[in-house]
Amino acid sequence: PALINRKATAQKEISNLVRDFAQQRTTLLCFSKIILKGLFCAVMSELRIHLEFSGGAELLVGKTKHHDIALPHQPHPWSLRQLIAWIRDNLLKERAELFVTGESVRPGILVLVNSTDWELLGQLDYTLQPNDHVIFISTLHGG
Amino acid sequence: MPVECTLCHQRPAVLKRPKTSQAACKECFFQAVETEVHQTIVTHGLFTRGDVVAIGASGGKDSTVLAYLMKTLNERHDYGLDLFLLSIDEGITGYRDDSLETVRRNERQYGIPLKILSYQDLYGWTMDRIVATIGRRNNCTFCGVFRRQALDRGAAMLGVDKIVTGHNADDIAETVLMNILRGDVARLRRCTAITTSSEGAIPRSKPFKYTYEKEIVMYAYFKKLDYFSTECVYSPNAYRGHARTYLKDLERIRPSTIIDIIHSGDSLAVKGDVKMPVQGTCSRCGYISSQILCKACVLLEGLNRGLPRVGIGKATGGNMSAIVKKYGLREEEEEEKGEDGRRHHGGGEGEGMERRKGEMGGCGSCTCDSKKRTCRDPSTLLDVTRPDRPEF
Repeated sequence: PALINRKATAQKEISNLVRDFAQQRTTLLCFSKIILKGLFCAVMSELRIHLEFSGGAELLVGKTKHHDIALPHQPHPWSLRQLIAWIRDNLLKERAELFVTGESVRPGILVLVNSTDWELLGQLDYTLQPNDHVIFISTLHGG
Repeated sequence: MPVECTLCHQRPAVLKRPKTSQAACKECFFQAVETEVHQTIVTHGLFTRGDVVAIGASGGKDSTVLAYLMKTLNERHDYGLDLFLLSIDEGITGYRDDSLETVRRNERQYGIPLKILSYQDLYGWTMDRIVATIGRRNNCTFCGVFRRQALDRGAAMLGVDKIVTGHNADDIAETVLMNILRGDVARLRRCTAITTSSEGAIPRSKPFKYTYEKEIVMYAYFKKLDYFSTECVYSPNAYRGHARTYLKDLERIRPSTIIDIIHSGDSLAVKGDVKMPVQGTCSRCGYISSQILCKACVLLEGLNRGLPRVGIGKATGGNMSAIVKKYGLREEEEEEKGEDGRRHHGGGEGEGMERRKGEMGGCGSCTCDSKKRTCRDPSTLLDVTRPDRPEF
């Protein structure tokens, strides 16, 4: 009986150890994942910006006015020109010609970045910064 | 590096004014717009003290900003005006019913009393029914003609002295272009007038005549004014769309184009030997008209008799005396012809409508088998009981 007790205790201790070990390993893994991801992001960063569509333009992007997007990393900084191309390829659900003309937006669609007219910022050449708020307002409807 | 406002040199600029290409901060921009509209009102003497003024409100960007500005300027500069909101319900599902919600919100937000009139009540037809009857071309003619009368009638019911609408500089420039493109000399001469008035009709003015559409939208955005914005479902086929596209492209190259076109329109004079229509009144309803019957009466007559294309296009649109002869003056014979006409069309309407949907033609007015929109013989357009007309 004493032997059995000892065996049981030993087994309990072993399972405790295994559990602790597993926990530590999980924690360690999680921790290292976070560190690695952080490093990864710092080196290969995606660009997070907020898009808004109004004045009827929201109908072209799935009737949703607000979009939080993350632009994939690329060697050159993102310009508004490239953003518009990205929107055309990724967000426009239908009738792309109602939003883009050539490489710019259709005439009659106003663009503001952080509540400032894009004409003051260089229009298509403006370089996007993290957490920029870009809004496209369509004026092409009745008043 | 934020650009500095060129007007106050203190705050960072938020937009570039298209009219002047100046960079302006929010406060200077608001002041510029409000001052310019005030100047327009005062210079052209749009109102007199004690006037009851109806603001044509659709819930869109122009009319919302107009309601806001009229209220603001009325209080700030003490115009002494009594303001109302007047809204017209054309009966376009999904468009008008939503925008009317916005007008009701405006009524609460700005504290201006609201009146709504509907096509159903005034004419017995909604735009949805009209489009179902005539197809997708030329609906805007019906809508526009009926709406103008509806606004006037509504204003008369309210007992107002003046009507104001939110037509902006872009709208007026488009109208000038449209009238040139269509050779409508009579309208070309009138369309840039800031106040359109004639005997017996309530004057209607456009305080935003010199205000760019971009500025109105920016004003609404920065002031966080609430408006409804969707394209009318029937508008993609409208002729005005072509003029608008062209104008927007021009504006991008040279922003002052819009004001310049208005200036050209203002300065136009018609040569002495050009025949111009004389303005009189409609013999049926008394509304102002340059023909014996006003356009709205002709259109309604056409709709009610199952001949929806009467009054549209050159052949029947201009030949008013012939139309009056058939429909207006000879009452007894008219009854018979009306009956026969309807019987003829009973079989033809369905096919005619299908053809219209496919835009294949078929004469629009007499629904004969013509390949063109109107068949070659004008007299057949009006006489629906000719025995030798092809049967369906």
